Amino acid sequence: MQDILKELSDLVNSSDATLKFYLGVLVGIVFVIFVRFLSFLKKSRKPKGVYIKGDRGDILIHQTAISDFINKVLSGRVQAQVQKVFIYSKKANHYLTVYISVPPGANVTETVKAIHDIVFQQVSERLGIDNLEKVDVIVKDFKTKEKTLEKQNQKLIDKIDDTAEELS
Amino acid sequence: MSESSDVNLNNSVRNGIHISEDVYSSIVSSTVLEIEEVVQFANSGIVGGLANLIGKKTSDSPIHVDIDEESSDVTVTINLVIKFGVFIPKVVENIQKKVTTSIKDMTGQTVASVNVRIHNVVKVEDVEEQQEAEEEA
Repeated sequence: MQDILKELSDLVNSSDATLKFYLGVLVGIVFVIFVRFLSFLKKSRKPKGVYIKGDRGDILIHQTAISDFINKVLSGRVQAQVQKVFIYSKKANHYLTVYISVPPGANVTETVKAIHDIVFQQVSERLGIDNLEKVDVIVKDFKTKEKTLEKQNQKLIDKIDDTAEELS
Repeated sequence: MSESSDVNLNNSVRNGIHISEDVYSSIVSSTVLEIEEVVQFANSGIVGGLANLIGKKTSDSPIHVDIDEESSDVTVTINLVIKFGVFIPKVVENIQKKVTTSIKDMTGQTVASVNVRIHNVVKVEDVEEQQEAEEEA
């Protein structure tokens, strides 16, 4: 192994211009093959998300988009923070798993129920995913990023102040 | 060089007129960005970026155009970021309708399907905040 590395190092440090040219070409070819291989691997892997068939073409709502959507929908409405969202489909039905963290002292049963209701309603109303069969809410831990919650609360307070000013 | 050898598989040939994939991409890009609910095209990621670098377009590119060799029908795949709060199927239907009409009107080519992939949903305020922060930096 060391011999091969030494030979390679000698090749790279060689002052022969022709040799350096061929080495450059070889590196270029290897790079192109590598990128093509990566894009082939990516192409062969079906992206995770929900596919909705349409007359003019398909819609794919990526798992990341669904996760972001749920995060935004729940933000400020429930005393919890969404950590991860997973979605998988079986036949025509979709199953959603939401991992959350709740602050200590929060009512978990009420929070989970609220998340269920909001997610079922909003996913159907806004994303157009009607066949959502099940939403599993998993409480992962009992802590939450205080700063984020404070920021969220501050945003809500600002919003209320603005509305109050407008009304007055 | 004979005329038939001019036919490039990446191009659509109709009545001797060669239309490049880039032309379709431009049409799609300008049409889609006119739609209010569309925030921006989604990034193609590291692999997509590298593939673009070597001139290979993947389905993760913001706009991916496939042209059927026999029928010359066009299939478009668009990767998008959409505004939060809109009804996605309606927005996508609008996108599909406008893209189909634009391509038909400008090139006369039939569009087989317009596939839309939603990568993210963002609040407009967040995007504006991010842009302001980037400008300040």
